Amino acid sequence: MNGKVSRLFLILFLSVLPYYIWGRVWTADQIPMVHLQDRTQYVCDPDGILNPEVKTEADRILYDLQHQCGIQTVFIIANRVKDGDAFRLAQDVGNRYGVGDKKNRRGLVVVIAVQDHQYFIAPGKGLEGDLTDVECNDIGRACIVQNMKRGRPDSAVVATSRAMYNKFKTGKTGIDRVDEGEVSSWKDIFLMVFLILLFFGYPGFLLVMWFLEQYGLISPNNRFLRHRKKHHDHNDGPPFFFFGGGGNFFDGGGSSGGSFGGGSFGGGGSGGGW
Amino acid sequence: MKKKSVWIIVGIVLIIALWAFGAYNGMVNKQEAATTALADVQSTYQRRADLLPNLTKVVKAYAKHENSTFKEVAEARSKASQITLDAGSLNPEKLKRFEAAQGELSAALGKLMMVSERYPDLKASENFKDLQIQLEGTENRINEARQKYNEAVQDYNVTIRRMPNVLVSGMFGFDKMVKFEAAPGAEKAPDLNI
Repeated sequence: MNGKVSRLFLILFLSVLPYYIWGRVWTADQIPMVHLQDRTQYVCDPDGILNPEVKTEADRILYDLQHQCGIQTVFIIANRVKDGDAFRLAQDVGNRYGVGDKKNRRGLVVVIAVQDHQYFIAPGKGLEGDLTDVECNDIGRACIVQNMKRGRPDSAVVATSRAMYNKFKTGKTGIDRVDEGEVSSWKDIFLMVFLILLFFGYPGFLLVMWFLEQYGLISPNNRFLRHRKKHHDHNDGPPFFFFGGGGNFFDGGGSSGGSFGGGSFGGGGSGGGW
Repeated sequence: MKKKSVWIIVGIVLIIALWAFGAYNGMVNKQEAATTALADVQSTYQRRADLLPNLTKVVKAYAKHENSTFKEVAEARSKASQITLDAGSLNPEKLKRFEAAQGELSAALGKLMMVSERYPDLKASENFKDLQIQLEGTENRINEARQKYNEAVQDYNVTIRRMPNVLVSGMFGFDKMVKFEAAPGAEKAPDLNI
């Protein structure tokens, strides 16, 4: 009896051993879509590869990417994917869940399969014109390959997310070869500085004055503050255009689940290995 | 009694008519989805064909004497561009001719990429690398478009062949559509990373 039980345990142990050695192999059906549970989350890390703070940082960047640039992202980082085919997983996830909205199809799926040493960046059909295959390749090589070669998946995820956000927010990723055009004339620089001062100079100045008053470094009767108080007597807080609105979505607590908009993917993008 | 029978018959006819309308509309939707998917396939093949002039130009700049290869590419491209697919008259022979022409273009493209092996400067050229990336992306798009077309056709074929739709599909002119078949060796993606 004892021999039979031992044999049974040995069989059970050997059957689950590969799972622990090589890890689970993920398919599009099995990857948990975190965005559906929490609309502020975009990074699917089913194998717990990332540091929680890094995941939060990447989620924040991708949240801004969606709400400021209209691009819905699913970022998957897992140890192994089916057939080691990051491209297939990206397409299947994008089409199965409909990442991106149905009308504009500006979804984005990024897959990094760590133990398979494969990645793929897949823009939705409506995004391919703004994020070309060459740009996906450049971002992938600069942000994913370079970091994954050094064993830094955290940096790979954050750098890729940031590059995407910068690309769509400012037109430049911050990666040399990807960026189009350059600020080539002093006239452009002067104009840029002028516009920044015009739109942000005075509010920035008011914010600095408010901080100085709070810490007692300047008198409340300072002429700049007197002028502001004349118009906002009941306002003891910082200038109204800062920190307006409610709390931070990422300050603990739960957020309700999100949804995908019915986007579609047609095979565009680029990927590779390291 | 007679009046009751009449009403029953009218009711049955009405139910059959409503079902026929619903079935017809369903088959139209599926057929249109398959037709759209076919158009997507054609546009992805066209995208590949449109990349070829740029690729040839870049390769020519470094490998002026590979005339036979350039000629082959031009001929294959011209032949492939002449064969288009029309969903209304698509049959297995036409599809085979289309796939054969595209296959010849793929072979010529492969030869053009192989030229870079003999010219290290070409291989290192940023323009060439960019075109390589675009071609890889295009091949992926072709594969996806073909897959989606096959899925749409399968859906349509199943719909028109199932009972009770099969009773009326022929009457309404809904014929079975053909799918893309994988060519021998097509299970391997073309190696464009030379």
